[in-house]
Amino acid sequence: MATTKDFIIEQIKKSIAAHETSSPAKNMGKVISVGDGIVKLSGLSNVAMSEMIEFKNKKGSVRGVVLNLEEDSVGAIILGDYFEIKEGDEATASGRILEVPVGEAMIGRVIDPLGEALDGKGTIEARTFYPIEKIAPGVIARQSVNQPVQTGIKAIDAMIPIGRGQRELIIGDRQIGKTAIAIDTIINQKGQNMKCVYVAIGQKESKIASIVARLKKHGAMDYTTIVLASASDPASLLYIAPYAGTALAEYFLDKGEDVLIIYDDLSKHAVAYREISLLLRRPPGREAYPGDVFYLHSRLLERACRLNKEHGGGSITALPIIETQAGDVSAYIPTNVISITDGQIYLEPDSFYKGNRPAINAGLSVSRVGSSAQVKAMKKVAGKMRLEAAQYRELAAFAQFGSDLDAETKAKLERGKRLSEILKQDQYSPLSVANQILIFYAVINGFVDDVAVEDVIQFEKGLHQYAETAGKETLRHIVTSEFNEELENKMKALLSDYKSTLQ
Amino acid sequence: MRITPKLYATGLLQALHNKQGAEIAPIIDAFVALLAKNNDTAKADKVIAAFSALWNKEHKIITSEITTAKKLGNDTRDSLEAFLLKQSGARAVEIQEKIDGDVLGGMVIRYEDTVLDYSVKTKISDLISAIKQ
Repeated sequence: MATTKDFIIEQIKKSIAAHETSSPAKNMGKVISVGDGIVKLSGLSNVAMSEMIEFKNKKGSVRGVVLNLEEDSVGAIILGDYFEIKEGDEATASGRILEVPVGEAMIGRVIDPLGEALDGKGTIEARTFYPIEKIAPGVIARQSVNQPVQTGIKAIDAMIPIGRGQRELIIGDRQIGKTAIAIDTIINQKGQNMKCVYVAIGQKESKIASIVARLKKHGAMDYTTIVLASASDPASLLYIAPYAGTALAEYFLDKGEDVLIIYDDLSKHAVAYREISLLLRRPPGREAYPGDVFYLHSRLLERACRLNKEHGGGSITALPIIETQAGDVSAYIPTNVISITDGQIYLEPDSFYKGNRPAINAGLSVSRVGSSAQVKAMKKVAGKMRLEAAQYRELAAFAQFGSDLDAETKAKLERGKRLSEILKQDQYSPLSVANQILIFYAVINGFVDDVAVEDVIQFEKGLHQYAETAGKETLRHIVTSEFNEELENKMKALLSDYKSTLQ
Repeated sequence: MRITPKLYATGLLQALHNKQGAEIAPIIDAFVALLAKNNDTAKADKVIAAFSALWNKEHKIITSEITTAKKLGNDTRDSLEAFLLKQSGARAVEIQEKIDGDVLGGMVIRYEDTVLDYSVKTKISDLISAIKQ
């Protein structure tokens, strides 16, 4: 017993001897005014922009971030509950730029932008901290996109391919499947060596709860982190959420891993920033957004990158989401983000209500860099398919005026109808790239022409089932080997065999 | 135009620049008359506070608050004054003493927006949190 006591005393003595008292000099400020999550402080003469400050009161401490440096006052946002802060309270400068905990422990968790657990699974132990604001990698560290992100969505992987390190915007009105695309993409990353971060900005907590449940069901939470700043959180948390998510992504990037990050959505982020800016009395500009709202998003999305081998070779693929009002893509924030990103997936309400889901408008959607990362076979097949789809759209508009059409036009229209059936896809059912190539090959080579339009979906389902059993070898060849005559013959044989089973 | 207390104080300070003894009283009278004319007498308190801050800045005077557990001796007080003058680069320092048993020992020195915490209370709480880790 005595030895245990001695041991403990010895340990305490040791740690007291090793203990160094913190530097006694501290930069302090006093709260002049507080309201709506914004504080104005006097003092704090040595504080830096984006520096963390701490308000201490009887109930504990609250953190804040300096955003305005004026002649004789400092403006800051409060990250958390601001009702406890009163005029005359003291604030201490921390000497550090705002940083958040990162690490492997975050995977599979739902966290707030400051790294605190929100899923009730206990506190997260993280010893590494990353600053939320960081200058994006430069030209020397980068390389061009050369590896695909398989979303599992036929229309995207074929026509608007996304590469690892790309920034692809998902844009459209409310309730037409923007989040669905993002979630399907996360689900399809299973086994693709990709970490996912889903940043929810200003979303309903019920929606996030159902997303988490869905991801869990598909086993996607094993590689996903959800950063949540919900609709009821203060604007300051909504403002830092995407930067905090990116800091977490950068942790994995620095380890040479590939990361997919989704910002859902940046319209609400801009609105939160507008609120903060107006409360800080910064001058309003167009649509009352402050002058630096472009920089707000450009500095965020510039952090998406594909690093070269010398710099670890990791990547951050960003899928920002923008919600438009009544299809107005020429509003301020949508045009800003369209110009920042490397392409956009445009979702159309008309198409959605006609039953074409995902409601992707193939004409307005583009991917500026992704095609260089596409699988060779997909590139071959998709090129021809995109042409057929474009011709069909043109002819379909034209054919509405008259019924007297020549045989060739009729054939094109019929094939186009089947193609748009093929592009329809249910939610939460991503398709592997080999299966996608097989069905597209079938369409453009006329294997589906004699199937009735309403039976196309059934035909496709049957084909995938058949290929899983009888065509396993061919499916493996599609992704691994060159797209040559031999492979084409195999695919043709597989398709003919399948069709013979239907009769 | 709305005149802020700081503007009033700056004006008064400039008017009083290099003035001595008897010259000062008429300037103050004129200043108060101006306040009354502008209907700004209610701002007097704020103007005085701003003037005092500006005056101290101009003449490099700092105010300091020292919190200790027991009353300071004269020697300690003098050496603290010398320390503060050296630390802050000011020409004069006005020290206000405060007795607070909560600091246990040592002292907490505040001047302008800097706090030097040499209190035993903080040292102990730092030590406790270090041992806890």
